Amino acid sequence: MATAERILTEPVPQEIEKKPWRFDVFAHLPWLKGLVRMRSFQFLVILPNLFLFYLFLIAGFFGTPIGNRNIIIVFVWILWWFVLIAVMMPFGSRLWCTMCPLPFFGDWLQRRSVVGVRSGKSPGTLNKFFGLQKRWPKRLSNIWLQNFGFLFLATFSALLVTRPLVSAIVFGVLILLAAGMALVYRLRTFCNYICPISGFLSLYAMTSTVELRSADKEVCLKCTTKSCIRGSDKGWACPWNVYMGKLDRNNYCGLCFECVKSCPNDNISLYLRPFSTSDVALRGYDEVWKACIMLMLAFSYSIVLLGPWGWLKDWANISEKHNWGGFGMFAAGQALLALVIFPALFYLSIRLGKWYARADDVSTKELFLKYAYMLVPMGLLAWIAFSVPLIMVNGSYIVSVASDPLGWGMNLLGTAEFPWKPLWPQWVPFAQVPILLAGLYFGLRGLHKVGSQLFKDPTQLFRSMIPPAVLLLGVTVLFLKLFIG
Amino acid sequence: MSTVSSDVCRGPLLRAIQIEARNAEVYNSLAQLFVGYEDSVTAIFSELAAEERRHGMELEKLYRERFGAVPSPGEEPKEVIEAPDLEDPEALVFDSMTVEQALKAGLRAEQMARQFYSRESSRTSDAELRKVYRELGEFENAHVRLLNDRLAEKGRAGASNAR
Repeated sequence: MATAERILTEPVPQEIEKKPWRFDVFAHLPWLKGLVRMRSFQFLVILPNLFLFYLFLIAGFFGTPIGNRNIIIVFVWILWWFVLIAVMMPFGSRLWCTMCPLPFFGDWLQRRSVVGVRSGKSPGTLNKFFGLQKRWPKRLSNIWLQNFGFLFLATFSALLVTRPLVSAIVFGVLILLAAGMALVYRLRTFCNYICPISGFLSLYAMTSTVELRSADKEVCLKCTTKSCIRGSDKGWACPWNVYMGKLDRNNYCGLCFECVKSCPNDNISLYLRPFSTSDVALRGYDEVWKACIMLMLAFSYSIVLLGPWGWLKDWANISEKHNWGGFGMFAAGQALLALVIFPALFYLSIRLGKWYARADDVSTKELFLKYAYMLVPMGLLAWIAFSVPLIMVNGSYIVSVASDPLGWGMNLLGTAEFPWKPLWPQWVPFAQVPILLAGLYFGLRGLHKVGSQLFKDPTQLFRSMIPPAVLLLGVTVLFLKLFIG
Repeated sequence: MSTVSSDVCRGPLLRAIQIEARNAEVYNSLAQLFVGYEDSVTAIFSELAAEERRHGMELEKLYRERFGAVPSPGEEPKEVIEAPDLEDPEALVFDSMTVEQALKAGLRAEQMARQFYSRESSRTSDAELRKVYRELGEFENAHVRLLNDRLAEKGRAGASNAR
């Protein structure tokens, strides 16, 4: 009865919460709305990537084993990675998921259609899907598998980013897994729970300056069909299984735009918003650990690649050194840092903050989950800062490999002999420092924002923020030390 | 009942009938959404859909007694008044929907309606219209009590299971 009584005393929301500034892109660019409403839209944006992906696999399996002469290494781990982390994530949310070729075959098998939509009935939806349509196990309905998957791949990154064959095998496995899972499980189970890339995209999409949302939530309240999540004869049921009527964060919206097509009320729009201001709620421990893992991996990579410790570089470089003992130490240390040490430090900062603020009415769990948001913008900008030298120092490989994608001595565009030429390497720290400081700023601002929702008393708020803010500052200083020496 | 007054009362009653019909459809959609995920949630939403249909029929009966045949529904009311909805947009991502949450979704909608009718009844100066609003509010109050009982029952079952 206690629960019911609590519900009765809660105010019934009479108006929609006021949101910060946002700009309705579809209202101002109706042609864009028309474009995404085309049934062929997603297929058309995936198609070029599908060809490239095919080329990458060919290059991985049959091209030169020299990483910087092979398109799969240069285009994926230098060009794609930089564009993804530094451009798409902050300015396009999960735009990569719109054009990702990995789930293409799975979608095709499940829908038996690449463009058209089929109404009918499958569990939970008003579309006819094929395959076993099983439910993904409830205990795995989180991003823990993605956390461990990404950490595993990141541990073997020296192999992954230097050996074309290893990259091709990993991508081949991912595409087969996505297709196989689509035949067994419903919708985009692979993307939601398995894809290691999707895991960090979901986290960093929170900061993005773009969001797909319902224009008027009252319209969704009155909607009887819930076509955004159930599908219709105009669009497939949301492959990501999110309900647009109440959607308030980007994490699991893969920007497929099916809801724009299926909404009978024309109530879904694309909005621009300020960076790292709107979605500030981490939902569970899996998401907090994702934030810790990502930040610590950026830190670990920076230590290995930019730090002065040659022995550590050798340990991590299993690809060339074959020192399995050293690699084991490196892998265990990295996992310990990401999964135990840093989360423990963060937890300690939360306990300290709670104690110092005398915040007895706020649970440690709530504070831990909410204050973890500070790690999101910090993590993204640390990754961007880390990736800047990748493109500036190694970007010239893109020009040469474009002419000779398989390293077979071709010269398709006449640029095969373009020399390796770092782009203003002396300016790299000048780009990294402001990016990192921006991460600190947005992290602290996020901390203040979520703290303000918890504490009305400014002194209590300030005190609760101090320990986690000191931790964030400490991390920033360590990054700066690695970046500028 | 004068003609003018009857006309004034006819509107809110028709609107209430329309809302019950709409909500039955919404509950039905929500029930279908959870097929194969949480069958207990599907059962609750189906039950709530049936309940809304039953309310709708009772209101239609009331309407017929006072005004004759129920006309076909006109335009949707602009106000939300009563609308059950999923509170968690990621409930299916995390497979986290429970029977309790389904009942709470229903309860919120009924509370919203009760509040609306109570407000309208205090605003109107027409005695007859006030009476209709009170009746409708009482109707919603009965639904609130029903859902509260279900939630309490659920809470007791949970507590005894925990023991």
